[in-house]
Amino acid sequence: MNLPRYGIVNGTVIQYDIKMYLWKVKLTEVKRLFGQIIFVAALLAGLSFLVFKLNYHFHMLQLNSYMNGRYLLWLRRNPGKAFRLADFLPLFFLLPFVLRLPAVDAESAGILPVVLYAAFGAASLGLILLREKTKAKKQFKYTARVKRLFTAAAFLCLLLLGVLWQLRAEPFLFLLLVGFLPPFAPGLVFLSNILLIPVEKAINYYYYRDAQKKLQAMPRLKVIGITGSYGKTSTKHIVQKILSQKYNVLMTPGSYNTTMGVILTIRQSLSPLHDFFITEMGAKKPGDITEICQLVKPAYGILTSIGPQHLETFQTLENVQKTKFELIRALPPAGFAVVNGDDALIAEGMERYGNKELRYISYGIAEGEIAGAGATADASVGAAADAEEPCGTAKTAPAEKRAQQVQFSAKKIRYSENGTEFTVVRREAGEEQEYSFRTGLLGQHNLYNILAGISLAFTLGMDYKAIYAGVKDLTPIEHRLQIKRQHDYVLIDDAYNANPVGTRMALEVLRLISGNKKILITPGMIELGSQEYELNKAFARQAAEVCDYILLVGEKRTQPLQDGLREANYPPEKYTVVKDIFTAFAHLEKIREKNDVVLIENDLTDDYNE
Amino acid sequence: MKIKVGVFFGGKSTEHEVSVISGIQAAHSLDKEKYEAVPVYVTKQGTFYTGAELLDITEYKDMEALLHKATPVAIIRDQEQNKVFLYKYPFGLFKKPLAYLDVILPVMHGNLGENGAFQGFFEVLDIPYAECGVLPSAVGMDKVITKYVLRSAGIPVIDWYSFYGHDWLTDETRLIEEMEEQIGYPLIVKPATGGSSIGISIVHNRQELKDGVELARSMAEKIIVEKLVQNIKEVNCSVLGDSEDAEASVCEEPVSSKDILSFDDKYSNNSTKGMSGAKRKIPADISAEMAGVIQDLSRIVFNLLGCKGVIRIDYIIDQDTNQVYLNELNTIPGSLAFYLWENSELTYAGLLDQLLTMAIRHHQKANALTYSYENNLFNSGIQGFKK
Repeated sequence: MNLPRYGIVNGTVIQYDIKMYLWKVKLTEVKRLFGQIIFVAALLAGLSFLVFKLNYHFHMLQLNSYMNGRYLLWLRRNPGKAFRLADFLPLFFLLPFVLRLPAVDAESAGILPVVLYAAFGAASLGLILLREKTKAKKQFKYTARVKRLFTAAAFLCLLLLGVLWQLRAEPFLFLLLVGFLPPFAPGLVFLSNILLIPVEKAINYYYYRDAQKKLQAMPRLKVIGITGSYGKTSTKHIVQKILSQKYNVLMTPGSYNTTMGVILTIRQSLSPLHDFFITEMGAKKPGDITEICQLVKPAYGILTSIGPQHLETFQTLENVQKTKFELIRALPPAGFAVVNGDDALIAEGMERYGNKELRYISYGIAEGEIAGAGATADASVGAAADAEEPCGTAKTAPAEKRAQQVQFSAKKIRYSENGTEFTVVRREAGEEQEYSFRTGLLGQHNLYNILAGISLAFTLGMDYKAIYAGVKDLTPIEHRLQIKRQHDYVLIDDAYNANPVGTRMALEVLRLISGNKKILITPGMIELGSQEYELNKAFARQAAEVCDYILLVGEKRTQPLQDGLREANYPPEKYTVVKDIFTAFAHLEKIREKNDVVLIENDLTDDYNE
Repeated sequence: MKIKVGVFFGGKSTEHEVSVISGIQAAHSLDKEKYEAVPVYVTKQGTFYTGAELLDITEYKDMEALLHKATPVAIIRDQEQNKVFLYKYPFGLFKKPLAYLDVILPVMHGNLGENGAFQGFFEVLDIPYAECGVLPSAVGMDKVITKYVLRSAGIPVIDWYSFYGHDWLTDETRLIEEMEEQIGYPLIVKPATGGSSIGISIVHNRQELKDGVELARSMAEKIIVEKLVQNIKEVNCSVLGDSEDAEASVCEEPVSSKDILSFDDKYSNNSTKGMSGAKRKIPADISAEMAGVIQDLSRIVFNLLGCKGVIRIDYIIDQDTNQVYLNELNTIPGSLAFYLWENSELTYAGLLDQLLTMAIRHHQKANALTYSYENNLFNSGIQGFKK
């Protein structure tokens, strides 16, 4: 290096101390480099925390069906989970910069800025590591849509950082921005979701057209639409099982009951091998069912029930009723509708929203036909019900009062630990035919669902033997009054989406089934609109009559239940409030005894965790 | 969207040509509205070929030219798409499937095609296939095992004696003595496997027996020897259905000038029509009572072995004693025995539709297409979940 050894300062010639000079230059360089590394590391740590927060909020968005409105509602309901004061912690370390304290002045070149950068980074990483890891019940699925959302969020962040870059902003401002974003991750989630609206629309339209083309290429395929406030998933499985005795049947899987779910099933699973496609049609707002019907064009429809569900979006029961009848109105004259004749809102809706040219097949349970455990509703039924083989007999006995007008009515119903035995009376052209059935399923609501399946199968022309076999072969659906025998007690898993009717039925089953103590685990019911408090209280009063012990999941959420139990004078030592379902199980292990029966009623997804 | 039917025919078998005729016949008889035939020709060496020209019987005169025109393929299952594809093999630069198959119609007679081997291949491919599964196919192809199984179920079969070809090399004298002692001449010597009449001889003395065994030994590892029924009447009956419901057809009586129906009788009279071109009497010249017995037996055997689709069971009636014996099972009968069903208002297209529908439904039943959410919550909860 060729450096000047002499210089002139204030007119005096001086000799430079070369070694010292070089060392000072080096030190400044090293310090600057060190500062830069720490800065970049802090920036990366801040970004990691942002990704961590986005990951959580995108998960919540996914649980809310990617709907900004529902996500907003969740944010308002769970401010404690959505916004945390601790998330502002990294920003605290940037305060000296903001206040422009001399110690952090760029000119001073002290060590403090670097220390503050490091603290910012450490705080960000700490927040990631220290955040409690709750076990997700419905895992976050990294779908293509989630990847698109992350891309959109990254784009937005880069845009903001790019603006700072363009403005030649001071380094700490970059950290300030990165530190500010995590607490406001919901805003970023919102914006990303809005940004993707046109993209998602285009993608959905492509999928829709693709599914439509595939359906049009299968003229032999018959579509069965199933809707109703309760029982549509169970009915779907039952219809599938019965029809499969003779046909090749595809159904929408799980609780896929939206247009996108139907499209997914068509594109992935439908093949020309199928004779029938059973489509479960869910509705969260008017027009939802019409939308699915326009795609699949059902020939047959089943309407199971109409009741107060998703009232938050429907507002009134009448809107629910009208929406469910969208299926009936979509059916062609050559098809037919199978409807629950015992449902008052369906009977009433038929007049107002029904399709006059359509053939209606109704089913119901004869009045006063529900018997207790082991008891016989009708003494004369003994012989017929004991027969292992299917036995259909022609009979023209006078029918029960209410079931007079329905084409298929169940009577002689007997419950036992093995399931249900019943007889179906088919009325056709003035003639009556009786058919006996048996099934492993329990509960009156299941009986209604089975009746829907039997009515459809008979009307499609299937023979009794095949229908009998299908009904006998029914097994409970996952988390729907599913009996899970544990090594020394019985668990009735009814975890999926409880509603007022369903909970009453489940408690009835709990009452009927033999066992030692009857234990209930529940977080109560949700999405019941203005009636939510009263319906939950009523549920608690019913539970008080049946249960020997109750585990309430969630202190705040089960307040109506706690009020209900107090009103019913339920002894306080016989119920406990626990934090979550996992704690409930831990507590259960302490109190349960041999041959107890435990009912799990409803099991809310993570976004409702307290 | 039509259902793509992979029609398999040909194969490493003495009945290769018959299978080609039956296969082409079946492919052309499919209901064109509902199905689309994808031919899969299996050469005598066991290579798979596809191509429209394989469905033209006249092309087979020049085999070399035909195989040049057709495309050799590999049959591969794509787990992700849950489909079975035909790929040109050896693979080209761009591995694009030539076609996919929804269901398979095997029209292969004898050996690999009918003994359960191909059926096992279809099982591994996890694709629906028409006709019997692995077990009834395997049992039906081995005449010795057929007899053991049926006799234990009380179905009448003719007394037999069986041994392996390599036993013959070391123990010839003992085997001859045992056969003479236990059964006695005249005898009928057959290879235990192989569906057609090739390799079968009737023997009246020790020298003829030796010649007969030598002939049979060249066709199969196992040899079966039976007492010859002198005053014989042969009657065949077909069964269509599955384990839930099965129906027996009218009985037929193959007509032959010789002692037993030879290969020439079966297939050479009219080489383009296959089994359906052979001489026969429908219905068979037997009493209604005997026909009823045969039809009942046929349904019982069909159910006993767990058959599905259409099979043909061949019987022998000893006219001196009026005793009926079950002689042979054909799990993939020539021309799929459609000619036995034409009287019962079932067209060949209708029969094929039934076979394929049954195949699809059984496959669906076996796979029990239920979708459910995986949820370990209760498993972990019951063991005392700790947060």
